[in-house]
Amino acid sequence: MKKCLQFFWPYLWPNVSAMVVFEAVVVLLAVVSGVPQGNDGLFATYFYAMPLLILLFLFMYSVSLSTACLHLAVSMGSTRQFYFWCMQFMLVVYALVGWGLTLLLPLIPQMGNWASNERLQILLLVTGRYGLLYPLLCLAILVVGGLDGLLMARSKALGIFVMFLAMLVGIVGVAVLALAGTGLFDLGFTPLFLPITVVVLLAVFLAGEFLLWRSIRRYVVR
Amino acid sequence: MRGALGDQALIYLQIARMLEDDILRGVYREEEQVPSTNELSRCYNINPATAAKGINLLVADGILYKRRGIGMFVSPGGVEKVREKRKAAFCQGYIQPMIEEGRSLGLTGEELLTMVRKAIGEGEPS
Amino acid sequence: MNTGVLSAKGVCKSYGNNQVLQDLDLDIQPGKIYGLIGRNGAGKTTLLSILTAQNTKDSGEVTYNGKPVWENQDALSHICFSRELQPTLFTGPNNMKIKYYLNTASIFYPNWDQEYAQRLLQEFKLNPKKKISQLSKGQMSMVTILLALASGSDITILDEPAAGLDVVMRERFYQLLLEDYAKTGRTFIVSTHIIEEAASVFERVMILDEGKIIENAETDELVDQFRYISGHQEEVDRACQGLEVLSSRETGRHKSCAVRGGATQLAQAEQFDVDVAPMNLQNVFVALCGHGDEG
Repeated sequence: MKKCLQFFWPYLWPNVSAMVVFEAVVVLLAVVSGVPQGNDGLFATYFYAMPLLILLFLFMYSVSLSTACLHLAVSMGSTRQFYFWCMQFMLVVYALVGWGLTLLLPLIPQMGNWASNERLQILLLVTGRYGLLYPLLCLAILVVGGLDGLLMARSKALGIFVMFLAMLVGIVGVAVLALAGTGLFDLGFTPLFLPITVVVLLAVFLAGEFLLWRSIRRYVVR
Repeated sequence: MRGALGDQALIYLQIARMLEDDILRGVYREEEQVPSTNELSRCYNINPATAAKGINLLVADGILYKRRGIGMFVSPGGVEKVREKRKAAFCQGYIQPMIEEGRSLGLTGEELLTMVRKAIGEGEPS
Repeated sequence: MNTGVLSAKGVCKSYGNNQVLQDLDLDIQPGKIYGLIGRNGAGKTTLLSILTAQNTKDSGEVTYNGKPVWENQDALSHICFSRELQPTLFTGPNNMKIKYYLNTASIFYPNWDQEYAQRLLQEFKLNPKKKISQLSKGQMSMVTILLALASGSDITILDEPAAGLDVVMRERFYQLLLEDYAKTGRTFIVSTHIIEEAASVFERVMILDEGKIIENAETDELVDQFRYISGHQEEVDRACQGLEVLSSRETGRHKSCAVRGGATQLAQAEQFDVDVAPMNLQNVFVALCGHGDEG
């Protein structure tokens, strides 16, 4: 565990800081540009889309976990098994950070008594009733990111393609999450929505982990 | 540093030869210590095992001996031994090639001897 | 020091149709400096990464102390494979700082000597805050050398450490290697294609050619089996009887051969009216591996 943290720390702290700073800057700019008063604009979009942007960060970080970091560790004599578990630890840490930052978001308008609007309601739902889906989504995106990194090693084009695909899924996921709360799926679908999404995300996560395990076990430093 | 060794003869033989030369010249006198394998290794950028091989050749010939815990020393009578060894090799190493070279130049035995006598005469101060 | 024997038996490896390693056998006894020499593309790096479980093999076994090295943390903690640094990764330029690279090494190599690493950093005039992508080829070589020496691993492997270094730095490298060897007696395997310079440093040399280790012997013993014989064509032919002729060149009546044989046979050759000259390791290598290239 200690080795793990030591190894990843120089990546972890700048990455997490970047996310925190990014969120802080977006909040600041939103406040400054009049979003609390109900002003719509660029920074309003950024603010309300924050959960999505966090997923983007996580995806990127995960790619580097299965590319540069993996290469370095194995070339220094680490076993792939050890690396896999270290990587798992990092995935959990990143997911928790992403979740934490997302939970933080709606607190700000609530504390600051911002003018309520539709988007704010959506944001509240992401963190509210369907809140548990978000960390699952984080984990799923992280696992897909890891796989994409390994894919990129073989074919950069394919890797980038998958990246866009994952981004798309992420966008759809968050949108669906939000829309579900507005009652769009009220045709008897809503009660099933939560369990279905959970199952899908879990399936993606578990299948992804299995592939990740297999791929890392066969990883080669030529 | 490595420039002191040629690259056409086995290194450990060169090391042995160099030590012998130095013993003959009086650089290392009897009962004096010669460089250790590590010192030779450092000096000429060679593997210590190679240096050790060269030293062991001289130990086998009785020119050097080992004082345990201290190092390698020139044996009493070591200088004489080197001289004897060189004399024995002299014929093969110098005389033979000279005769063969003379032969391929077409010199007779007499012409060769004349050249040798002349050279000896020139070499000695009268 | 608890060092085991690293050995390979019947290792085969191919990339597509290209059979890089064929039925390769190898034993690394502890406490010596080995040279691994071979032509460009002979498969030295592939062999070394298979020995260190960083690459996979098609068949055969690689063991350390009798146990397979693959995914064997215990074995791998005794081995350091210092490979060429990559200035670019497929995700872009390699922005890793030297400092981080060395810190990572200190995590994975149990015998890492930080003080030694510091001294070498200063001697090589390397700025630890510099990124790998900003280094010159020579500086990258110096980092790999630094890593190998400071790792303190029982078996330390360097892949082409002298590439990119000028002759002064190369000499310094051999010096540092010998100094460390004198102090620790670790096992070193150095792969190189700058042969003659390094020959005096290797106690044993392994020659990789066409997928196999064709020679694995004490450097001196190997080199002493070879001679150049030259002179009049007929005389040379007579002298070469009983010897293995590796290559020959004829111009007019002059003939020159590279031969191999035992001590007695070589001594017999000297009886003839021919020039018999020794070969150095580089000459031996060319004689053994330069096949098919001579016009």
